[in-house]
Amino acid sequence: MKKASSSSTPKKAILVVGSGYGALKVAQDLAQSGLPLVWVAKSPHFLELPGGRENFTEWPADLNFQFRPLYLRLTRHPLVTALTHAHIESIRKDKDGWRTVVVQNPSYVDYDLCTGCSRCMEVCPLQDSPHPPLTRTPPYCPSRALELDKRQPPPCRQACPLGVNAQAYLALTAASRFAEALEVVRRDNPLPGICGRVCHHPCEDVCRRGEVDEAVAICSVKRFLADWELQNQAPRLPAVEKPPRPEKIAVIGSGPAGLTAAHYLNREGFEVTIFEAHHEAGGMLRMGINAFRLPRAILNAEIQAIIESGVTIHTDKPVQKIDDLFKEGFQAAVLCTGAHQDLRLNIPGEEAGGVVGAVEMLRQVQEGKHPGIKGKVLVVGGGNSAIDAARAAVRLGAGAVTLCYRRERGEMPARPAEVREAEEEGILIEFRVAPEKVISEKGRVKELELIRMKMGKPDESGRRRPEPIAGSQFVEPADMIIVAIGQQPHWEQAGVKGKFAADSSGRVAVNSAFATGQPGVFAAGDVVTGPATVVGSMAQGRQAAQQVAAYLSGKKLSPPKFEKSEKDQDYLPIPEDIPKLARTEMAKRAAHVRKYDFAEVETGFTETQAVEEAKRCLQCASCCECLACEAVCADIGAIDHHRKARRITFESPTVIVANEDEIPDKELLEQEGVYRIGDFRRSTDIVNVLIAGSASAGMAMAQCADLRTQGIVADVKPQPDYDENRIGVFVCTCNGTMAPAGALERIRAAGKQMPGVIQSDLIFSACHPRGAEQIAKTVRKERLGRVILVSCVCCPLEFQCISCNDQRNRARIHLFDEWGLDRSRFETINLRDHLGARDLSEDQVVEKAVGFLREAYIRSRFLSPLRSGTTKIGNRILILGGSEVGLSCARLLDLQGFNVRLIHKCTLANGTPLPKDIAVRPTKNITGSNIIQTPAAAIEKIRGNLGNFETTLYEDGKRRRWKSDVVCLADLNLLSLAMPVGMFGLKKFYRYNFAFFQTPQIGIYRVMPRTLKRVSPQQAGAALAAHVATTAAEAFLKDHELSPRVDPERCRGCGRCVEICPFDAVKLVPNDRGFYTAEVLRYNCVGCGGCVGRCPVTAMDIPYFSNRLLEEIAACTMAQED
Amino acid sequence: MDKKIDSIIQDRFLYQCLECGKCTAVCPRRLTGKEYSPRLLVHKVIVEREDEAFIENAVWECLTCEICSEHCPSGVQFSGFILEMRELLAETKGLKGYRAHDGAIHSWMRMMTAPELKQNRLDWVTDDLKTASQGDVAYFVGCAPYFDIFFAGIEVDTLAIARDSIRLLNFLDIQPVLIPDERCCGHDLLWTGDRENFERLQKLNYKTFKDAGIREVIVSCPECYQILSEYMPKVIPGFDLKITLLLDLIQKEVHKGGTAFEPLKRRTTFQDPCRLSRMLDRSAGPRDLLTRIPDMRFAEMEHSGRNAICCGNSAFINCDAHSKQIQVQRLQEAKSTGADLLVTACPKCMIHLTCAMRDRLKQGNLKMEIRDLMSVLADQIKPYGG
Repeated sequence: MKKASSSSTPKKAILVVGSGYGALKVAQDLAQSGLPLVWVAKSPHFLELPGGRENFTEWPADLNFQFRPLYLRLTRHPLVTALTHAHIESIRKDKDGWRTVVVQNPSYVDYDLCTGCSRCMEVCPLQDSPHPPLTRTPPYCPSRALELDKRQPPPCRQACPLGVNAQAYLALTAASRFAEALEVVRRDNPLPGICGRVCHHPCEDVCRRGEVDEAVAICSVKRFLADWELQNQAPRLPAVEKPPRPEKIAVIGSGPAGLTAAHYLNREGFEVTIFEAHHEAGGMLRMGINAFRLPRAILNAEIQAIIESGVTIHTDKPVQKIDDLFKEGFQAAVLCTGAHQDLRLNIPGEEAGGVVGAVEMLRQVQEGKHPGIKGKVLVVGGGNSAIDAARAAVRLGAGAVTLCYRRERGEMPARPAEVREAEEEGILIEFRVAPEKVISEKGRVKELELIRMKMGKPDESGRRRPEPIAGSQFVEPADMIIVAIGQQPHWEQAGVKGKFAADSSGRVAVNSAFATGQPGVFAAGDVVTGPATVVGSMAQGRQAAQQVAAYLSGKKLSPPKFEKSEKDQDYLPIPEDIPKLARTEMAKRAAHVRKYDFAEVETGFTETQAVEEAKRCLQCASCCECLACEAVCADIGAIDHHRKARRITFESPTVIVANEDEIPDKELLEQEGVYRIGDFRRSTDIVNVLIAGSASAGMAMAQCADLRTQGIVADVKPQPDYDENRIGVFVCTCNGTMAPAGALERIRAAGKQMPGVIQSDLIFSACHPRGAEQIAKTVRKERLGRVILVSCVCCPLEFQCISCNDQRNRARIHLFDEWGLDRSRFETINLRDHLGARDLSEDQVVEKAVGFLREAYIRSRFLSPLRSGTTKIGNRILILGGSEVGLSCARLLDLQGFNVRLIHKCTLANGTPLPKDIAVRPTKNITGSNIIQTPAAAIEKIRGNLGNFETTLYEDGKRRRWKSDVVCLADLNLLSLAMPVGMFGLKKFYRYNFAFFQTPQIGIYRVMPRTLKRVSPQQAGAALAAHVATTAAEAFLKDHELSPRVDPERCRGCGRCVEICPFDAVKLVPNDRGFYTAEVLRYNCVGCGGCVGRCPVTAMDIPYFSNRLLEEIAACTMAQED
Repeated sequence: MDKKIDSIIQDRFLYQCLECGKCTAVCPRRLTGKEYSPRLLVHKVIVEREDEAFIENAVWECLTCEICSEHCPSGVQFSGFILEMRELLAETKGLKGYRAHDGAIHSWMRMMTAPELKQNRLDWVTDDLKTASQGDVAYFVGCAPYFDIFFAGIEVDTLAIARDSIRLLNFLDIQPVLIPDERCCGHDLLWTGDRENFERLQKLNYKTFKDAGIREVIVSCPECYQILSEYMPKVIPGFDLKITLLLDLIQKEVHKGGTAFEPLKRRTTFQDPCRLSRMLDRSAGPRDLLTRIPDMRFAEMEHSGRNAICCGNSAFINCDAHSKQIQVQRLQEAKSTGADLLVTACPKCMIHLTCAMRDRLKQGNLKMEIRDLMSVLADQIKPYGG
């Protein structure tokens, strides 16, 4: 869980570091005593124990559930800034305390918004994997927040020039979700079918699966996805979502760079026109790549998709002068003319007939001109063009084709698979040979003189430089020589004239923004880089498009979506026991058949092959960022994959360390003003840790009295008295997961049918701020005096019980604290739990829900106002016992500005003999403080209640009555004053509240001998001081809203309520009738209702489950039985 | 409904009301500050019947102690009017009035209308009590075995009244039959408007008596006596049982001579149950007997006899702070007579006054011993010269 709202961060607060029970207790004492704190933990939630749970001697099964209400209360406490997944970046001492910088990891799932609907988990393709990226905190933690495990971008994605999210489309393919997978591809690549065939897939080179066996066949999976779509429909690009823009942009050239630039500009809303000099679009895709590798149907279909998405392509339209484009109304131009000019061998005899460039030759083939292939063909070069040319030559009827390459096989730039295919088709390859001279006869090539090479030292490309072996010349007969040693851009050929610079190789010079020297003219692709890969050109086209868009918007370009990281790659580790599984290869047509035609060689994956191959992916980065979860969370808006880490800087007067492993520098622990819970702890017993937490809180408090805020109870404006007969029903759909849509609508309609129901609405989420807003606005607009909320919220009370959770708590905070609605007018149904995980039919769901709705409707008639208000108490503290405990407590409270009176030596006035005990060590007076001190007194009795105690005692034989707001029994001899016999059954209750100093009377606190076995007396005193401060520092106590009210007309003052109340929350006050009337001390009351049941004349009633309602329920039940 | 009310008004002589207000002036509830006025109720029900809320509320407020009728110069039968109005309202608008003890007492009374009910109600009969399994005279125990359990918490021993009544009967040489499946007399159901269940109880009890061959039923409780002698005959056609009030029987025997009383050196006073003193006109009986006990000093409270004030509650509805105030005042009156023993003749008076005495903070000045007249007599009676 993480808090995302940055506004809540205080400038000055106590720093609490670490999770666990000790920290929880610290947070409770500080927050409830009115002190702000920033709570920093590396863990995903605050119940992770430092050192692990196994170190704790005690771990009752239900203990975690006992912490639940406290946890919920604290993590949403207005004074607590709770930061999980956070660490301290730096901390240094300055004049105001500790200047602390905390970094919180990005909260991809916003804890303040997440409704826990689980739809993200349902759609996550990796949810069934061994490491599901979306997880919840463990069941014992009430936050039940969702965590998204996100790592560095996977290597495949980082290696792809386009940044295509291979991990995501593999994950989706593995889940047979092909359409979504293709959508993922198309986010970054508009030409999946083309790239699935001709990409040189750098992704596969870095694939971590290669460390196990072989890289995943990523490219083939992509091809499958495009093929799968084509079986059903023509390829279709996602609709343009941005509004149209008036600017017109010209793209010159329709190769990979031009098509991609045009596509992304089109998506930005521009009007884009591509000018293509040739008769057909596609550039080098069409001119330089054989149809048997890239079938023209695929090429045409994907170009058609770009046209259909809104791009205009003019073919046979060479652009002569770029300036003319601007005159025609274009505001920008992108030059993507590629590199089509074959490089020459620059050897003697090269001008002979029968010597052609590879690209030239392939273009002729494409244009249907037979380039006159016959006899023996020599191809010079080792790249893809060389292989393409050689394989085309085979198909065009060459007698024999030999490739001449000057380096080794492993250094060939051509894809090894294609080299293999070429050899299968009968092409021979001569390695380590270089052409020296073309020997011709009658102006036509006859032979090629070659020289053998040896491999020398590595050159700048890292490959070893070939060096000629003197005298190794030999002659190879040739009817045709195809030169495939590279290409360069060629101006005249492209026919473009412009005012920009080009280097000696014809490459257009651009700056980092892809701008040429001429304003408004950009360039991308091979024309900039020289001949390169398809995907590289596309990446250039896309980046240029972004730059053009920024240029036309007058903006600076924001950095790319993800930064390639130089940091350690924190990928999921590869399991050691992972079974090896061979890479799936596509089937190919047999060489002896395919070499006679131009039909496609590779046949593509079957569905099974694609799914099985995709499953080989290791899902390196855990979350694959397919964004399926973001889509289902769109209304809620909790998930955002692009959130950034946040940095919080604040001052803290003191630091409390619950887990020393979480501080950057251990030396900090030795500094003054830094408390370590570990210092107080003798063992890892849970109670010890809690008391230790309290003790450190007590010490820290004394140094931060000026930070204390008073009166944090919000002044809730009384809600107008809306008409009780105007009822509203709100049904939470829980982001569509509560029940099938049809059922929800029927439940809503059933609500509308009930008499008095003015409004019956479906709301997408009751715990979401916007859901609460919808409810609040409707309640006010329609003046609804009763509201029935059908959601997962069980009760509308300001209260957290052991079955509460953050969503339920949050819904109430939004509705009642923030919007100020009157909780006593709400009736709630926890339909979520009632429907549970049972497999109910829609009819059953509706029947059940409508039944609950009807019951709630009846209950809503019996709602009555809840208690609200506060009881002021003062800050007079009487401490009985000047033991070390008492002194420590007195000193710490005095430092916080409390009015402390301390009696050093106490005896009991009834003469009870004093037991010898460790804590009874009266000490001399404390100097330099405002504490009023009395050396000795005999205590007779303590009467009263919190805020109004009267202690009767004898000082120097004189009887005195001292008033105080709180009484602390720091002397073990006085325990009998605090703990009447028969009250021990309440131990569990106190334990539940973790209030170790509590007595049955709130406001009287005592230290038990067993506490002194856990901590030193001084520390016990500090913990006691913390406890007193939590009670008294806020100077008020909030009423228990369920406390019963007494009808003074009915109450007979019989006192049965007083007898039954274990909390001393009922007292009798004289009335003017000559007897007494019961009165509930609301802050002592826990709302159990025991007194209500006991009252013989129904003079007491609780507002939430009233007697009238119970009678009605009984009557209804009886009526049904009749 | 209007017609029905008209006929009630007619039958109970409401038209004779002079609006003098004496009823309100003596109403104990009014005197404790309750917004309640018998006079206004009569006025409203005659001329302002559209104020249904007022009428309905007031009808359930009445204690039915009948002190108003005692002072009425025109003979308006106010309690009878209330009873019939409650029956009418219960029938048309449902049972109202807030039930003390969460309605438990009324619930068990209704449970007793179940024909197949099996009760264990004679466990309390000790060996010293002489009872007959067959015969024609029965003693009606009533609700004592139920109250005994329910009010044990406030230390009221209602069964003592039953035991002492049997001891008195034995003294008179009567060995009464105790009927094991007898039911509640239905007084509280009748007075809270539940006519239907009340009548069921009458029929069941009558059949039980007849099946057991009973011809005479002796009753110690004034409420039971009122029901059995006045209301049961109206429900049962051909009713032919003899109903005897134990007080009457003893008075008759004492008047015959042959009995005497042991001395009892106590100062006593008497709380008149409204059913006994006003409705059954028996206020003289208890005084006649008590003053025969040697050494006893009997003192009357300020309000006594037919002018006595109610114990604060009737039929276990609408018990509240006003009830308590009436009780506190009544106990203070008793205290101020100087008595140390408060005698009453109805278990309800005993329960209600005991409850008030137990006030946690006023125990000191309200507490006094309270005993039923039958118990006092049973302890002191002896044969003349014996």
